[in-house]
Amino acid sequence: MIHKKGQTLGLAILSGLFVFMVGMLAINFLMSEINDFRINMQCSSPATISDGTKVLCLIVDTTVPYWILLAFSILVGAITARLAI
Amino acid sequence: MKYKLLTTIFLGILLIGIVTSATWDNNKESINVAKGNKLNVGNKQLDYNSLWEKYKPIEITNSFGLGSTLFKGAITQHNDYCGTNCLSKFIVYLGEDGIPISNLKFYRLDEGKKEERSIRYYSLSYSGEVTDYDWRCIDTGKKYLNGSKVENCSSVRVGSHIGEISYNIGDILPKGTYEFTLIGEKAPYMSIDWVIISQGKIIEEWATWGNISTGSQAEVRLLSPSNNESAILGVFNLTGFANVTGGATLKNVTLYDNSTGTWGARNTTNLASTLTTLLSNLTQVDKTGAFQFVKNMTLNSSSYVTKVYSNISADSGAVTGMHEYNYHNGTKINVSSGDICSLGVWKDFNSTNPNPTYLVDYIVIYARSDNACGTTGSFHEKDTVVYGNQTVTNINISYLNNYSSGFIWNYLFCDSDDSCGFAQNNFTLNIVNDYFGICTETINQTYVVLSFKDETTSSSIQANISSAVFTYNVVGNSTNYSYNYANTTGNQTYSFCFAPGIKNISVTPAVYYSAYGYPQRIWSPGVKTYTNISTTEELYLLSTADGLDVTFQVLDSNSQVVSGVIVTGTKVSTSEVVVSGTTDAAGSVTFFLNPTYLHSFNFSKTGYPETIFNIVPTQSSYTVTLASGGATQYIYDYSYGISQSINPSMSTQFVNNTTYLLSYTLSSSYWNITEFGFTIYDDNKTILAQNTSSSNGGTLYRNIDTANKKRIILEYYYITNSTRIEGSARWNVFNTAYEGWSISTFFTDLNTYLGLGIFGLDTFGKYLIIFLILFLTIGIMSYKYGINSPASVSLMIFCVIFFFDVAVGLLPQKIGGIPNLPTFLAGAIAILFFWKEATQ
Repeated sequence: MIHKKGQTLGLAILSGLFVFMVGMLAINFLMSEINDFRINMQCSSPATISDGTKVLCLIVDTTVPYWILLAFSILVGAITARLAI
Repeated sequence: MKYKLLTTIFLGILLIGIVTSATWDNNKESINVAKGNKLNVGNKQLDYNSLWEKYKPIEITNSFGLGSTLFKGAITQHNDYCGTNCLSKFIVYLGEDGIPISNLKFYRLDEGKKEERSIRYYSLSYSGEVTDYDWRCIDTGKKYLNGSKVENCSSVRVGSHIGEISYNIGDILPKGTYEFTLIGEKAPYMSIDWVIISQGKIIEEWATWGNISTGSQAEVRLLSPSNNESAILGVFNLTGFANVTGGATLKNVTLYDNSTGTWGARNTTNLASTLTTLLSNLTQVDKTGAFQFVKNMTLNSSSYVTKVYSNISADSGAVTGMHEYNYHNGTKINVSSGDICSLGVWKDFNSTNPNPTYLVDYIVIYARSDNACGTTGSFHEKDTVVYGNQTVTNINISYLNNYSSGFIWNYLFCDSDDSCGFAQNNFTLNIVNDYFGICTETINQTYVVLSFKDETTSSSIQANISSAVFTYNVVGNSTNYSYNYANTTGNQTYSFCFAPGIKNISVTPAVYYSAYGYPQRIWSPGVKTYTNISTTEELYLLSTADGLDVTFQVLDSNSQVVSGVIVTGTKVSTSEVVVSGTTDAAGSVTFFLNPTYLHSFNFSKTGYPETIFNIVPTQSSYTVTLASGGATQYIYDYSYGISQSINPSMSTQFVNNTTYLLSYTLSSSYWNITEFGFTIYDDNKTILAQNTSSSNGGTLYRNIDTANKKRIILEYYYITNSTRIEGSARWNVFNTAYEGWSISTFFTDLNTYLGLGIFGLDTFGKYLIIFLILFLTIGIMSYKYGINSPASVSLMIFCVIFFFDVAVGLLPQKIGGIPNLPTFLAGAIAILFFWKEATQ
């Protein structure tokens, strides 16, 4: 007989890992968009862009980290909350 | 038989002449003259004289000449007691042509014995007929070509008169009666018996000039150094004083001391000869038609002329024999005249116009070279008479180091009467030996002078010596002495002397000196040898604005610190030794140095080879390693005067698949560059490009394609003085394939944008935001989760600071040359709190 709580924890881990892996794979789709954005917005030429554009560049810069953080948070949250998705 | 008698009578007649001319058969007898009776002497009949009771008349007869009188004399005038003006007169009948006085002697009686002595002066004369001559000329009736008459001139006897005729001992006079006058000058305290010899008989009955005072005439005192005074070993001025009265003059002075271990004479100064030397500037001027000397000399206002002798009459210049003038405080007094052929010469006095306002110290007596009277002919200096007080100074005596404990001394003055005397008490002089210190009036042999200058301008400045220690010893003597000195008033120079100033000394100085606006420096050059030839040591100070503190730590070949290393720093451009010092127990010594000039530092210590370290001291510290052996070690700063640059700068971010132009520029203003160049590698040490040049500087270029390499490394070098100096630069190549999605991109952009002033944020604003984040993070964590222990809070602070400093580089990367200082400080604080909690 399998303990119910242990079954729930294992499921939560598996579910979290699944979401994390999907999220990591989705980054590749985001990267090309981010590159295009940065090139178009001339984020690498700060002397020629406005402060607002710089803020946009910074927000876009955080897209991938936030995406990873989101996926990692789901993983950890799933484990710690013992939730099965 | 009758022939024998006749022969005997004949021979006897022949022997009469011989017997009557011999003196051994003469008979001397005293004549008792009853009071009131007269005495016949030759053709003179003398009234009774009470002097005859003491000095009886004398008669000398020839026994074999049937008792004929050869000599008969009696004293008619006599001074029983006298000093400088003694007089005796006596009448002599000379029975035959001959010598009335064949000798004249003086005996001193006041010393408890009868001893023949000279007296200062005497003259013997007799009254007689003096022939008078006149110089007359007869006109011959002829004339010279110039019209003047030719005259025949000669001395013509015009008469005679009774006058004083000088008698020289041994002169033969014709039979007759003569009145002799004997004038004498002696020390007033002496009792002198004058004795004449006539006809082979000593007439001891005549007569004594008694003393008019007692005791020594000279007052001798010792002046300086005073009794029991201490003096530095060297040359001493021992000063004495003597005052003679009664007409005597000082003759010489002799220093006595026991410096050689026994009491004895050390130095004799002949006062008369000294003064004769002073008289070498005498000028002879002809004022009276014959001779007159005027001398220029320094006058002593405390002395006065007591007597002047001259054979010039007071005003006319005619030769009349010796005239004696007495001067007392400028008042001239004529006294009796004699017949002495000597001439007095005196300062600013002459016979026609004595200047009573001047006083003199001494008189020089001149006499004609032929010892005859007269005002013409050649003259020679006969005697020097010194009048008044005499103080003897500057009798210098050098004592060598074997006389180190002191000595006693005294002066023996002798006067013209050969009377000598010491000062009543000896003086003791204590000697201080081997003394080094700041020069004073008594320690005045300068050995070394410290002079202070501005290192930048070489101008003299006033410096203080906050403390100085001189450890010294006499060369050849291992005994060490120490002298401490300090002066906070400030001087441009300080002179240090040594006594006695006849030795060489070894000095190890340690002088701490400074001036207003000039930080303190130390002069500690090691052992220096100085002599009595003054050496000037120039010590340099550097203004506060022109230098920095540079510490040298000296290690041996085993990396152990070496103390006691003597370090001297020389400014190469001026060859001036600007600093010196000795390493302490930590092997360190710190100098205040000018960081814009090349300096040469010499490191020396027994047991290690000398090391010469040439640098421009731009760093705060240097480490110098002494070799364990071998020859002198030279360490050069090959970066001095070298300017080199790499382009692009190492802060440039290379990206992949891009071609960059790399250059290396080198120039040298001091060293001669024989070769320079560079080699470019990738991260696998694969050579990508090279370039070299043998010129003395320039710029080398190479293009590099970064491709997909991770790193580009440029190693450059230059060769000078056969030494290869290397360096390197490296650039990380950023692969754009991975750009755009890392958290690093965010912070890189954030850092860049903040650096460009996004929304007007400057560096302060950036740090303020970081502080707010730190503050809010810690506050929220404490408020939300109750984390409020100091250790936990400090740990969180450390983590946040670590993130901003190390992870994303938003905090200053170097503070005071220390990288990531905030992180280290936060970590240290966290550790302290943890340590505190763990130990409670």
